[in-house]
Amino acid sequence: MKLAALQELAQRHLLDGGDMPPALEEAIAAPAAARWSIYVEAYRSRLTEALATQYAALVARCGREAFDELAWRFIREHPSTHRSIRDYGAQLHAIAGGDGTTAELCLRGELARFEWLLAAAFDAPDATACGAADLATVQPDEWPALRFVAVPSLRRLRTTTNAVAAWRVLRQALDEDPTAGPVTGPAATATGPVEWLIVRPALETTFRSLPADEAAALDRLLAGTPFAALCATLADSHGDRAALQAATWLKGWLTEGLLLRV
Amino acid sequence: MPTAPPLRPLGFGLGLRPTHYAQILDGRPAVDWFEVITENYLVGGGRPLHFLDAIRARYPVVMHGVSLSIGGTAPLDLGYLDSVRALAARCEPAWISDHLCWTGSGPHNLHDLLPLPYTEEALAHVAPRIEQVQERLGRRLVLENVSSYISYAASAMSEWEFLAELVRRTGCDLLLDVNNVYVSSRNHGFDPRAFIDGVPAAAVRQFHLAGHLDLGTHVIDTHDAPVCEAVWDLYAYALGRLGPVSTLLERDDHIPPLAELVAELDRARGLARAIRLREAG
Repeated sequence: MKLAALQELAQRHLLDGGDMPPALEEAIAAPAAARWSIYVEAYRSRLTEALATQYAALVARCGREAFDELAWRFIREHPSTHRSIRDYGAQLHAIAGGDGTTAELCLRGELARFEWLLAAAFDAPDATACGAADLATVQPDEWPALRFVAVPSLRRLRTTTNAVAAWRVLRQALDEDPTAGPVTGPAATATGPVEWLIVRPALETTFRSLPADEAAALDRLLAGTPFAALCATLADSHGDRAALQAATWLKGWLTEGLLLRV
Repeated sequence: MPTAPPLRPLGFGLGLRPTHYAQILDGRPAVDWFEVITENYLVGGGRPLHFLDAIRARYPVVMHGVSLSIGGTAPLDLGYLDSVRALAARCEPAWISDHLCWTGSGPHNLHDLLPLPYTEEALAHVAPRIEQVQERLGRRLVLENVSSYISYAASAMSEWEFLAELVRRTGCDLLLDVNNVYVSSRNHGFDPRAFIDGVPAAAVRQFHLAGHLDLGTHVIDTHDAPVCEAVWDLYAYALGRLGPVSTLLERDDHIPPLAELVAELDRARGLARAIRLREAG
């Protein structure tokens, strides 16, 4: 058997499982099946362990056995194409959230998404954010056209359950004793939409909730809306205070290190 | 590949693990160098690169990859190679190593180090890929022997003969993982000393030492335990045959406090010193 065919055959079996193909058994010296099973088991356990590390709070919420089942389903449906195993698992939230028919399923999906975004911010590219001092030299006639983009670590999330509150409880328990038994945290409840901002200004990742109007304004600004146009969009909701409100938010976003000037 | 001057051995090093970052920076342990898992630092920024920079400012480092898939039949991932080269420009490693194995077919990565059949076909496939990597990285590649649980009916030569022929054809260097030699020798029933005798001494740039799980009928390479006596004996044999080669102690699971690893590393240091003294007469 040619090398390419051998690798394709072996990989197919690792990805799909099932009985060992006779052609693979012939290609491997005896005891082929017993020894090949080491690779089969290692594939499943290595990727499951990587996901469990990435989604530690979700593991605590689900319990290890249920998480392993969830992870194995994900592994079968989403084989890795990443060079680094740290990058594997971005879509797990879709499986964790199931069909979203219960608050608990919604919470699990949002919890997974939140953990993934925290990890993404953790080692996102460094950037020197625009600060208030950087805008001190902007001339009055330049302000209307002022535009910004997000620093690379900035992530946004909308939740509809108390997933972040659950994360806090689960994470605290894990930090205190990673070997402790199952910690489920608060019961899942629907909260209505809550907007979240995740960012890593230096080495530490931070997050906070955003009022809906601030979230909408930030999203518009980061989508390329010039500052004057942003103020105009706020006129309906904030009337005469639109420009003042926009300037107040902008000052806060600059202090938090969210923005890069275009 | 241009001929590079011989590199001075780095001494005795440890695999760099995040759990030890603070202890390394605060305590300045008696470790000569650190080996970093390349893929863990192929990130944009944040803590991984911050600590890599800080530790690199104090110690030599070597980059050790797990996803090159030099034996894979999919085209080499040039984007990955370019990111490896960029990381090397940042941390200036003494050398860059990866494994003689395949890690996936097509776009997939199985995140495992799967052995190759040792055939002329595989040699003809791998040698030009090594040359392509060396050209892209602008330096020699250092290739490690993997531990393996299977062998192939088609293999026509031993693993060490295969490695020696790759060195001859490409000028690459070798990372001799002494634990992997032991693990594979137990699993396949060959003499581990024949492996060490069979590799070209001048090409061996580095040793790896690690622990494994002995199941009696076979041995699993787990990196979760101290080095066992049989591997220490084999290491002593390798030192006697290959001389003072840079030595690296690996631990990837059940990672103990740094001081415990430094003490285990001191055993390697002591063995090397004893052999040097014995040979000096």
